[in-house]
Amino acid sequence: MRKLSYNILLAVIWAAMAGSFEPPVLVTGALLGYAVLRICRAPKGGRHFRSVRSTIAYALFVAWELWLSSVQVAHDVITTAKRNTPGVVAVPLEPLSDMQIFILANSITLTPGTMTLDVSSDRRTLYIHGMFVKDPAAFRKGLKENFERRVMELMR
Amino acid sequence: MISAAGWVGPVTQVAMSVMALAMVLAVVRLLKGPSLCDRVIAMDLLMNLAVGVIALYTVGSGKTVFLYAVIVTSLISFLGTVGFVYYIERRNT
Amino acid sequence: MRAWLVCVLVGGGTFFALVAAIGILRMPDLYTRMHATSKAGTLGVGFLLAAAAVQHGRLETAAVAVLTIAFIVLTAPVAAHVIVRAAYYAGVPMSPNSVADDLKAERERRRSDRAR
Repeated sequence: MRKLSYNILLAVIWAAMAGSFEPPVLVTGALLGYAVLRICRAPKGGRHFRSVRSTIAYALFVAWELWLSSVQVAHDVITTAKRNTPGVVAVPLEPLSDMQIFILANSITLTPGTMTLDVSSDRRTLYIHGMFVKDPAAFRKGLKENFERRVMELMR
Repeated sequence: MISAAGWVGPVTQVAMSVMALAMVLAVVRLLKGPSLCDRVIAMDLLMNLAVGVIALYTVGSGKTVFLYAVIVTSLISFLGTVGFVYYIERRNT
Repeated sequence: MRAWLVCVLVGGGTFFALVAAIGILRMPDLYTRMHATSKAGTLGVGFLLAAAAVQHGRLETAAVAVLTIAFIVLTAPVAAHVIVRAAYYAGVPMSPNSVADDLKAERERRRSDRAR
């Protein structure tokens, strides 16, 4: 079932790139998508997206955070006060699948003042470079509550 | 309602000059950056600004065939950045 | 009505692109420069592509523009993360007013591995 939805998504992307949504183009996209899915490995772990509604809600959340972060960067660049106190903070993680860590790291990079630096080799710690780190413990707690909770709600 | 259709042309031209200024600033960092990674960041920004310039040209001239160049440019810029960083990591190990 | 939207999107996109370029010059160290360009640059280019989609108004153009925006939003943070990680392990120094550095042990370990 999951492969069918990925196949449909690839066919729609192919039609969008080709420029027309006529049936021959969609059929070509479906065949090519099937070939690609046969070649690629299925992702490890049994998690998949909970529902389309939660995915769209998460995408809107990321878009809002991206807007906020750009406004903060603009404010920081235009005003002359050098207020930034950067630092690298280690955040312990719950056990998450690869896809969840990828989504988490991407969302963290797009939010105001944070950027993913590294993941430890046992996937239990995430190192994050923050721009305004006044107190590392509060920073860590804020990140865990906001982001990790949302990512765990996103995928089952 | 004030018709704004005549404003799109001048706004696009002013925006083009501002994007050119932004590209000059990125090139200043490309020349000045004390480390190699500064130059990689400047190159990545330069390619993103090029994508913006192509989109701006599409707005101004109405020829939408250039949007296919946009996706190729962003693809190649991403692959180039990752390849360069792979070279940096290999050089250090 | 559509022309107003195009003007607003073009103005906003150019503003954020200029902010990203000024940020890459003004920020004190490499990591804060990457903060500025990855966030403001992505949003600025996204606005400009949305302006191109709105201006033309047809479905094919809008589909290509939306796909490009999705591609850039997915890959620009990955590129930022890869650059910053390589720079950290290569030893690029952080800004003097840094607060915490939890990854220092890993960097020392890799440097001693390399020196051996």
